[in-house]
Amino acid sequence: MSNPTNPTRPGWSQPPTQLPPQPPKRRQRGKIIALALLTVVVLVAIVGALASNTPKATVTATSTPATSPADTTPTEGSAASDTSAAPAEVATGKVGDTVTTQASDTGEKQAEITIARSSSRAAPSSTSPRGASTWAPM
Amino acid sequence: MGAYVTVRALADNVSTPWGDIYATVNGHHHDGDACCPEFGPSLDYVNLNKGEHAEGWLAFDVPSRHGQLVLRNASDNSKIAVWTF
Repeated sequence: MSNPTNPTRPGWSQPPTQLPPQPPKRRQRGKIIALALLTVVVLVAIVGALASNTPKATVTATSTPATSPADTTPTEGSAASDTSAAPAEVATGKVGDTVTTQASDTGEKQAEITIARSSSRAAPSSTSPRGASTWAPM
Repeated sequence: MGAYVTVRALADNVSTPWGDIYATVNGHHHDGDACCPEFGPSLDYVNLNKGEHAEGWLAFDVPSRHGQLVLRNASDNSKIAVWTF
């Protein structure tokens, strides 16, 4: 019986066991580091180019008038609500109350307006068909 | 209904809110009416100088005794004041 696995037997040739020459590990590591550095440099260059070409965002401040064209403040002794804190606020009250109007640009007081009283007396029937008969005095 | 309005000028060249007061009843807008002689004297449209005053009735043809009187800004129609009646 022959032993094919016996390489020492005369007549058998050794299988080719030569491998490609391996570069030294130090050289391989250097290549990897150089490639990484190059990648970083390229990335930095790309990011820089993009940043310089990107248009800067523009914020435009739009000013709006802080006050309405006319605002009101209650008159002393009036039962009207306090509107002096918020110029655009609507003064509310009841009949008998007084409001003071102000110029929006200068803040100068313009007038005191009072609804002194109201009456539910009906209009003449020719102009108000609903008539007085259905309304009671206030 | 009628509203008796008094206006006292605190500056020169102040006009009375003759057309700037309207009534609202249940959300319905009612402008003043040039009617109703029994609501007299009416508030006239006049320009007042500082210290002057004017007064008179404004009449509104509204279907209820309860509602609101609104003083509006003539320039932008915004509300300035609201009186409940």
